Amino acid sequence: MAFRPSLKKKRQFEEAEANVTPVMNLMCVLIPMLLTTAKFVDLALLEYNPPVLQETDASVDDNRGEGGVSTELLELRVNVAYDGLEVSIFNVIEGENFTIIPLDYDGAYDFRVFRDRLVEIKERIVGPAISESELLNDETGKLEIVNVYKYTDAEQIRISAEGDVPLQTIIQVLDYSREYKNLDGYFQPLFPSPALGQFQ
Amino acid sequence: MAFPPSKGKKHLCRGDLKLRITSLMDVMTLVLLFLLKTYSVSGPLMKPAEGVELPSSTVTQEPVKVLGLIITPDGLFEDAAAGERRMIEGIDVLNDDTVLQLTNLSTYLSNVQERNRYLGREEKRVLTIQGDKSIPYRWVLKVIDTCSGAGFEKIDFVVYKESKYRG
Repeated sequence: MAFRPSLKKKRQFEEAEANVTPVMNLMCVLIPMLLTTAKFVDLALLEYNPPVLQETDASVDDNRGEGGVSTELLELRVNVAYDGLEVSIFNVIEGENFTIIPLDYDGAYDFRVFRDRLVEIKERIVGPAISESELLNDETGKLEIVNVYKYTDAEQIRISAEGDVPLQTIIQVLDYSREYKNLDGYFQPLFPSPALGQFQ
Repeated sequence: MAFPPSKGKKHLCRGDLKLRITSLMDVMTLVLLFLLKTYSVSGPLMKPAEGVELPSSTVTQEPVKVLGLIITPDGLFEDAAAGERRMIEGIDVLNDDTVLQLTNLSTYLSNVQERNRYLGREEKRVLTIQGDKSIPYRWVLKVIDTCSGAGFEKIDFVVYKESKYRG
């Protein structure tokens, strides 16, 4: 004879739940507060120090290569034209020291070639620093060690553009001419002192 | 013929209906963790100006709040909220190639400097420009030349930060 199943097993137990209402209250306060203070776009500042431009002295040009090394000028210029980028050194407008980088197939400026050209100028023509000197930083009032190169303007680049070139392009030129990543993967300064000027 | 109601169902325990908020708690916890991770103690010191699409750059310098100018495709404005902005220079002057120095901007900058001197504020020779990425270079150059002529030694462009670890 089979036993009749007990009726007790049909009793249902209520599930015990944690009371999360206080946590929810906390969340409802924290999340709006954090949402209002959150930064969803990262802003940065691109610093530009307008230089006091000095006209190139003709006598310096004449003495290039004859006098002391400190009088030599690189005179690196970049012209942002509508049809491409023009990079020149030693103030020439033709020859091997004048490079025209045309637009790429998409009609955009070819900044990779531009950067490669600047790196080539930096490594082959400017070369490594020949010495170091101390310079007083006007902002911090402290002495800083700066590199001395073969050319006195070895860290400068004069950038000019045609009138309707958009600001974004100028910012990109400044970015690509400021630093580069060397073969070891480290960022090295390229020409970190830009001077913006009229298109020539 | 109608069946009599089940005796078993009649005794079912009908507890109070409760909102199940476990999944909501999961989402809220994730959102909270994300927001805590991106939380900046210093807070945003500068907000991008309304109606201005800033250019992007690989620089990492944190922005600071100093005297600012806004250049939109509609002209040059003082740094204020969109509805309260006062135009300093219009498009016609900015596009005019015969105009090299912006007289209204010079006046505005000298007024600001004069007011700062009167109030005894520290005179900073720094200026930030929030320029739309589409504005032409000639406008930028005129503004820079005028600010430089007014004695500003450093001019900073406000940009969106982008990764410099690109190809």
